[in-house]
Amino acid sequence: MAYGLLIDTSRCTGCRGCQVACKAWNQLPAEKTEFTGSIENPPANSGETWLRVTYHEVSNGSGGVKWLFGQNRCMHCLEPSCAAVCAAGAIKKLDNGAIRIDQEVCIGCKNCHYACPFFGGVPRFREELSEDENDLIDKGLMGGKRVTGTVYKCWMCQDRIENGLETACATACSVRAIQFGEREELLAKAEERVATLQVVGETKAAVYNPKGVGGTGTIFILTDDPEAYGLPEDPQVSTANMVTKWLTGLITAGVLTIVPFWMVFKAAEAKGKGGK
Amino acid sequence: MKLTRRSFLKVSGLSLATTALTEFGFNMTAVAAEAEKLRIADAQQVTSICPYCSVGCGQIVHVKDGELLNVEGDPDDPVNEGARCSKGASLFQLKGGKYALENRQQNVLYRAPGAADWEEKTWDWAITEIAKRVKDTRDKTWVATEKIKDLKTGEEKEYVVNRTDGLACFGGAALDTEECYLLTKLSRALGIVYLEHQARLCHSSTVAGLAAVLGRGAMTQQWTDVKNAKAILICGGNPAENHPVAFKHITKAVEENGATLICVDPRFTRSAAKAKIYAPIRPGADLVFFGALINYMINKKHYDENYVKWNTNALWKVDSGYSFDPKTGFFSGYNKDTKKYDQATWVYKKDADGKVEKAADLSDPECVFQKLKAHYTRYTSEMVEKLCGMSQAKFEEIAEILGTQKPSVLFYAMGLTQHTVGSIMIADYAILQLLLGNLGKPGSGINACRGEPNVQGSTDVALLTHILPGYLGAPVATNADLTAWTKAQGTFRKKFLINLLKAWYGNAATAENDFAYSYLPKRNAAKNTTHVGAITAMADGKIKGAICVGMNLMVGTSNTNLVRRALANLEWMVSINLFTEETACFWRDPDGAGAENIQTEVFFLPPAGPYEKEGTFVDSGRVLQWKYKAVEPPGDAKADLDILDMLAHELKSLYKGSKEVKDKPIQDLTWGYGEPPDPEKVLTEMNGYNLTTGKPVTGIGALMADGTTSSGCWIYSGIMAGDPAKGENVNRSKNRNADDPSGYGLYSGFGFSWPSNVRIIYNRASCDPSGNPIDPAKKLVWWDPEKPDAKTGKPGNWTGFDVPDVPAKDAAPGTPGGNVPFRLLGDGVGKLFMAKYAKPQPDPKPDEDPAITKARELELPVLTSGSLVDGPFPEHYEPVESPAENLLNGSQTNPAIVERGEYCPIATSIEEYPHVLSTYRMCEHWLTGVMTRNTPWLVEAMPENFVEINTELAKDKGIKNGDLVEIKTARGSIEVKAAVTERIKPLDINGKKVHIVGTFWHFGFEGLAKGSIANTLTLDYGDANTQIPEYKVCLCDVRKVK
Repeated sequence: MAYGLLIDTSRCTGCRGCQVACKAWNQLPAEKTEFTGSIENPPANSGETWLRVTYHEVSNGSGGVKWLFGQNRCMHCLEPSCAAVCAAGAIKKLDNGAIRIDQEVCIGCKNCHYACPFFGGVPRFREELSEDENDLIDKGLMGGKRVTGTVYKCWMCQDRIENGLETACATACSVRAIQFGEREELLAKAEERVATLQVVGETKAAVYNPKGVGGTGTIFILTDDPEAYGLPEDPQVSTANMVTKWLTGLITAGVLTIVPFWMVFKAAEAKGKGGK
Repeated sequence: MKLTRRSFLKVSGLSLATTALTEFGFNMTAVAAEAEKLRIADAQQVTSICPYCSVGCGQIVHVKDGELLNVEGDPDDPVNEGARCSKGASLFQLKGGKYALENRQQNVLYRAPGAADWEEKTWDWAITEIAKRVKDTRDKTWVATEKIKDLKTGEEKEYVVNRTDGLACFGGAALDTEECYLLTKLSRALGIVYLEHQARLCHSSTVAGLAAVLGRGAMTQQWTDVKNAKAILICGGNPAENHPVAFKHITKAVEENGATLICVDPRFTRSAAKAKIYAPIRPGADLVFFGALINYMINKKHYDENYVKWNTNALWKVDSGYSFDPKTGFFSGYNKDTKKYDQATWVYKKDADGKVEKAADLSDPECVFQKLKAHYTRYTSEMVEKLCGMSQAKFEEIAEILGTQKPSVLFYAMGLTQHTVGSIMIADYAILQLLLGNLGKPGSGINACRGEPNVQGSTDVALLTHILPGYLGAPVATNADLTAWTKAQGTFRKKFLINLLKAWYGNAATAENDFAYSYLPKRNAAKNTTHVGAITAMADGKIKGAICVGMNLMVGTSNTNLVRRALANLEWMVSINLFTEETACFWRDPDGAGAENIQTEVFFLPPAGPYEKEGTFVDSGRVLQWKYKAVEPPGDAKADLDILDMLAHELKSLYKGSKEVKDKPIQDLTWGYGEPPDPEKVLTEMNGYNLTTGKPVTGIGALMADGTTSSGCWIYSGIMAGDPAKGENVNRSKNRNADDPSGYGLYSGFGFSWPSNVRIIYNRASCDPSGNPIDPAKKLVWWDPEKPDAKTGKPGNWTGFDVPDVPAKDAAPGTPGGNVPFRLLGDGVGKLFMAKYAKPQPDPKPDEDPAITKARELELPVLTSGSLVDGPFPEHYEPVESPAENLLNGSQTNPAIVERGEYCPIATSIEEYPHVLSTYRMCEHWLTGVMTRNTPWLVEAMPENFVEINTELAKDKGIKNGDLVEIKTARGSIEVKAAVTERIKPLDINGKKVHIVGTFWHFGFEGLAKGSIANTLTLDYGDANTQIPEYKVCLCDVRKVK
């Protein structure tokens, strides 16, 4: 028996209470953003943004428009590619249903990021912690273990759920579009809800619990095709193409390491030249 | 669900399906989750209320060692059940600590004339200097008497007015009720009539419109009762964004009660995205839609005939002189020169004895119902299509649902209120609900979604020029004495005014001196002393000093260029706000005259934040809830209550010893709330005292008209009468009993609602004339002939799940007090025709109260109820700037509005400004953005303003998503990024394609998220009744900048 999250997009009003509640509970700093044509912001998940509400405007097929509110967040796959490829063995599948990165073990190699089949890679690298986080760490009040230079993502509010509270996002949601509970029960609820939605005319209503990753801890109720929400239709555990991805990742990591040094040397060289 | 660590251990690993990733050669087994420390585990929990919109979501503030640790939704509060929107979820960042919000100002600041920056100052210095300026300005601009011309006789007469025309006070719907009350009390004692706040700009037309039809100007039900609705119409509002947690209860109605959700809006909003039916509407055409709904309900006989007969004036006959002429668009009594109506014919037909004549049935051609039917025959579904841009089929689909699915609830906000026809628009909504029988029952009502956390409270205690606390009319010059005032207001309200005067002037208020009535400032009824009137008087240099308490005039007032002029013309200004916002910093406005050219002195005082002080908020459903103090305010910041207390004491000491009559109101003003001032003492003053025993009164019924009791705000009487023996707090706003015996979501034990803890007002209308519930399955209140009266012991009493909204518990059906479902109206019934009416004193009887005999002799009415100044039936007129011709009558715009001339230029050619512009709000920012644009998490989510433009218009103009665009109106222009979207569509208006563009008005030049002030574009022409500006619609052009 494990816990999960049910995201009922048919109920979601896009208020972003969850997005901010996630930041507030986990004390994640705000990113610098700008308006680029969509009300969606920040533009992508990051080490500092673990849950993002998404907004997709699609045709309703009869001259009107549908506005789909979705979420980008860790899916807590039952067969988690991230954990499978973790070089340091930092990512664990927990008995309470969460996929958790142990920040003290993580070496920041980002293999997990490249392996993740969702939202361009859910786990994201973090350069530094905020003053607020450091302050709470100093006082021994920060849940989890926070270190710099590692990869972060939703940890299903381990400090809350292990102490009898629902996750911050589920607590905040006004319309119960995010429900936290036992995964099997949520799945049953989802099926029931989809049946109701079908009756009231939401013909595309479906449960999103993709089998290619063994099912997910984060289950969606969608009212349109998964692609309309930015979800892969049939995600697979990253295995077949894993070696290529892994190598690409390693090369990228290598470049990322070398480039700054190269820049410094180049700058120093330029300065030296200017002096002459 | 109760989750515990123990339950995890029991199931660890055993029943989990393990996953094999054989290609990598290892099995993934779930491992036991680690025990985690919960950082709030041993924190102190303090309850508070969210300081954003007025849904009134409970918050728990976690504090440890005096430091703020976390803020989260209160799961025990029935309104939000722990939920929060993005704004509510961000509350932690409002703290003034060392990390978050570096720009939260914690020091007293002063900006000298012409200076380019602030200087830090001390409280002592600032209070001394401000009090000196208040006194100086007041003394120099004092108006003791004023000559007023009688409109009928043309004669001039001199009246005592005791006021200052040189001071203005603005704000604060975000203050606690107790702070608002002290602000209203102190301002009035100073003689300020330019006393205004946010309510003028957001819902003043709600109060006028609802009060004219129903008697009270407030939301009629509770958020938690919305779940009982069978249909919900959102028109002129966007609760998913602006009252997000209210959507919890809308969702419950839809999912658990099968309610149909309808959204009518120019844009496909986040609310529209959740609606079963969405229909577009042209901004400003709502009266056509409502008028057609009324017409449809009458034609299809969807109205509730019994309800209409029992609870409205449908059968009352109308004076034969009343008429409406569609050719001119004028009702009877219009004077083209003064642009005003003489309402003499907007009355009922009376018999020889002066009694109103009533028809036997609804078919009588003289009765209100037939007049209503005749008036709305022009409002057809074809007209809806032509003027609203909504298809006939869509209109009829909506009308049929509302006609057949009852009860229904209407939601609206600024989309309806902010028009030159705002008050009649709201009245139309109320008339529709009366026809359908949708008031006073569970799951029915009109929900005026209030936008500030305590705008209901700040309105109740009258931070408005035209009222005194408890909706008593503020005196005008011609109300020369208490008798003249009573003639206009009635003896019912006189009692409460006496209680107010006793609360304010104590022993100085005696029966001999009219209870110090002369101390109250009298405004000139012909002068616009509302918000825009004040801004205009500032621009003209008539007002010299202004105090802004939590109100950002620069961003929030329409026609910003006039505000720029107004602020620069002041001699001095005080700004009290959590952040140095655009008003406090107007001298550094990039579009202003330049700091060196602005001589206004500015004082900035840092106040305590929402959970840094205690007091009450009144939510949109009239429920007062106590907020406790969680942490100390940062730096030098002080609660507004303390600031007002300091200022009052300083002013009292400055005026000490003066022998001038004008200074008596300050000298005699009662002011003793302790050191530091205790908000509960202020609340008790509002509740009222028995002056003989010195104890708080137990309710409105205990208030006397002879000066032996006092009450600063009579509608709150009873709030300090909780019974500890029943497990209640004495201060009932502190009650937190979430039981709901009826299951309707009344939660009568949670907080205290005015009046007398009634949760659904007008609930008498849920019964038939004999006092039996119309729908026994949904009974709310009823007459129990057996139940003994608490006072007299005689059998027969009103009772029920809710507190019965009746004049007296023992007012039996059939007696004069037993059949007045809309008891705040002189008529006693809801008004389908807004007749001017004064309820006379009862017929003489031998042993009557001598006060009644005297009142009859003086021809004083019991209760008066007025019409609206622009007609007894709501009639459609176009916005001041409109792309359409008014097809319904011969008057293009509301004939009763006042033109603004050079103060507000308007478009002269539709070719120059071809598109309709509307402004609105988003979930992530709040009003002028003072708090939210300084909250990093919200700024991250919504960093900038943008304008929503339809794909087709964007293509025509070569505008792409994210491009910089100029929006231009006759008032000015702003530059903003474009959001090209299909969610806002062109409408076919009488054969012409009309594009609508829309932008948000939250932005300004200060704070973390900056942007041009959108109100630069809007116009300040006001509603004929309340002068709420027509923010919602004007004409514009757009072009690509780069």
